[in-house]
Amino acid sequence: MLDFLGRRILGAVATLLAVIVLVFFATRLSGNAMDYMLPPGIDPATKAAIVSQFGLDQSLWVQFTRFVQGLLHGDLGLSLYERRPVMQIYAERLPNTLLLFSYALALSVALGVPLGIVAALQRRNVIGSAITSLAFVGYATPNFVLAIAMILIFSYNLHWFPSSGDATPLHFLMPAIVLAAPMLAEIVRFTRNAMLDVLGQDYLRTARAKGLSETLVIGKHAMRNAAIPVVTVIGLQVAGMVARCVVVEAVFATKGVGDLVVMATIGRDYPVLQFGVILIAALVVTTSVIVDLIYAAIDPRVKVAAT
Amino acid sequence: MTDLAAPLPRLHTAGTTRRRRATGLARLWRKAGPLMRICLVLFAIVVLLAIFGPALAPYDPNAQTLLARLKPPVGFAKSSSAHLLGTDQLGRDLLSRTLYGLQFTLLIALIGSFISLFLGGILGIVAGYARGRVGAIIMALVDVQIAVPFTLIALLAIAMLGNSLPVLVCVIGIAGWETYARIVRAQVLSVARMPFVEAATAAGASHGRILFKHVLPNIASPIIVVWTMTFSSLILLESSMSFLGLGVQPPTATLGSMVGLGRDYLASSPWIAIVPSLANMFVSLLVLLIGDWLRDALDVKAK
Repeated sequence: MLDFLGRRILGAVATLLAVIVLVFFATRLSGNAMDYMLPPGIDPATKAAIVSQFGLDQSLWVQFTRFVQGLLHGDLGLSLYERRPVMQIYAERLPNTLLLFSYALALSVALGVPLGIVAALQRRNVIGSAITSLAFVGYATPNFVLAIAMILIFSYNLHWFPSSGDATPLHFLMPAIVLAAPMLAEIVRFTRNAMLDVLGQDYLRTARAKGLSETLVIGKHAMRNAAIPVVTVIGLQVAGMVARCVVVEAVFATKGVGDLVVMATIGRDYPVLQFGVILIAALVVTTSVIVDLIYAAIDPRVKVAAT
Repeated sequence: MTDLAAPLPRLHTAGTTRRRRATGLARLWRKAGPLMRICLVLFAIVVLLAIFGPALAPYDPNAQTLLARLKPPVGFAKSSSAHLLGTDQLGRDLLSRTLYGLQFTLLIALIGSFISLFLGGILGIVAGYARGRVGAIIMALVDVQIAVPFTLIALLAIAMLGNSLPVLVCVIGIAGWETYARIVRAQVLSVARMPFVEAATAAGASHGRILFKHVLPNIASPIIVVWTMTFSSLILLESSMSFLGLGVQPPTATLGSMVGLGRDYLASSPWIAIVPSLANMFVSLLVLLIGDWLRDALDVKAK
């Protein structure tokens, strides 16, 4: 188990290092960011002073070692626009995004798994096919379309929820639903398919034959075996959720990391952007390690295969 | 999600390929149920609309008629029969813009998907066929691409290179390569071990001949399936980027940018956003349904 864990973490660190190198050199490829930032016709001496203030006059290698040192010390430089430490900006933004993620994750798991089980058990009647079709539509709807539909219906017509901002928990409800929708749909689909696979297995017949109640058969024997692919899809969907939060936060004006990254792209604020990419990559890589661990915990075969 | 590990489809060897392909479409049509046939017909209509959109559009998509601003679609109060789907805040005809937008959206996704197919296919073949250190490097790149949500790579590229159409198309092209690389590599690895490949090698066939005549025909089905499945996500990526204002620049219409512009008029004139939203949803639903069905019909198993 420790060996498996160690190898998994080593792989994750290597991936992250590759991301850091890639992001650093990618942001420098386009030349000097200051050329875009400063007004044309600026006094050359002033320009040189500003450029050296941000350390952009050093060689690439020096900039890179400084960058890595900074990352290790939690010092990521200043935002080109706000002239504040990047770390400070992210510290303000991260809680909102994490809150949004937790809501969306909780929502999609809490609804998706039971709905998937129902869809599998009721697969031959209307309920089952209704759930399956809804899941498909949920998956196919572009998130900004869903966001706009929700704003139209629940903010402008019914006046139930505020359409933008992040002042109260109520503000997070609609973005969380939009963020959760594709994940919910995928969890329903995967839970349904996993349950269908498991339902035909001999050990379920054995469990029933020895007189277990149907609740116990489904809840214990079927669920544990069906959980493996479901955990996988949750892990995969977390990466998708991170990507979607960019659009969702922009639509609902949630002051989170996704919105920040879009603003940094528009403003070419690369210290902010590069840390955003690294932070999000770290988030996704960590999730995939955690998913693998859960995997090993519920499926003993994984540990055996790894050693 | 698109992690496809296909059991080898019915193997066919060089020579029988041409005959199979001729009957392939007809066979697929016969396999389709009534609902799927409707989807296929609808999709054909969408494609035709996209191709002939500019000819069918009643107006220039960028022509502003300030006197006919903010007209709702026909059937609502104060609508004008001259504009079937209404007009936007600048008096541009929404039907014309949707037709042009549909064409643009599908075209960008199409070119993007071919770039990623080409890129991923070649890297996958190299990784699967050559293996060794080169293969390991390619697979490490695949891992990196999986670790970073692609939207972020797209944002990075747009921040660096500015947002122009070529940049957008290239970004969308890079978006899907790793899926192709993985599937092609896995397929090449398993097909390369087949006895008929060994036989071809023994008979003195060149690497190129083995690849094109023996290996590629056998991995065509999974590639087609991945292509359909990634196509919808490429449409989504383009629309999201354009929606955020980071994709195609105004006044050019794509479905995503139209929704993005309509967003500001949601309270007073919601149809500006609703018309392209519905078109967008309809297209991505169709593509996904067809992709899903194709996966079953071509007997490619998704993990």
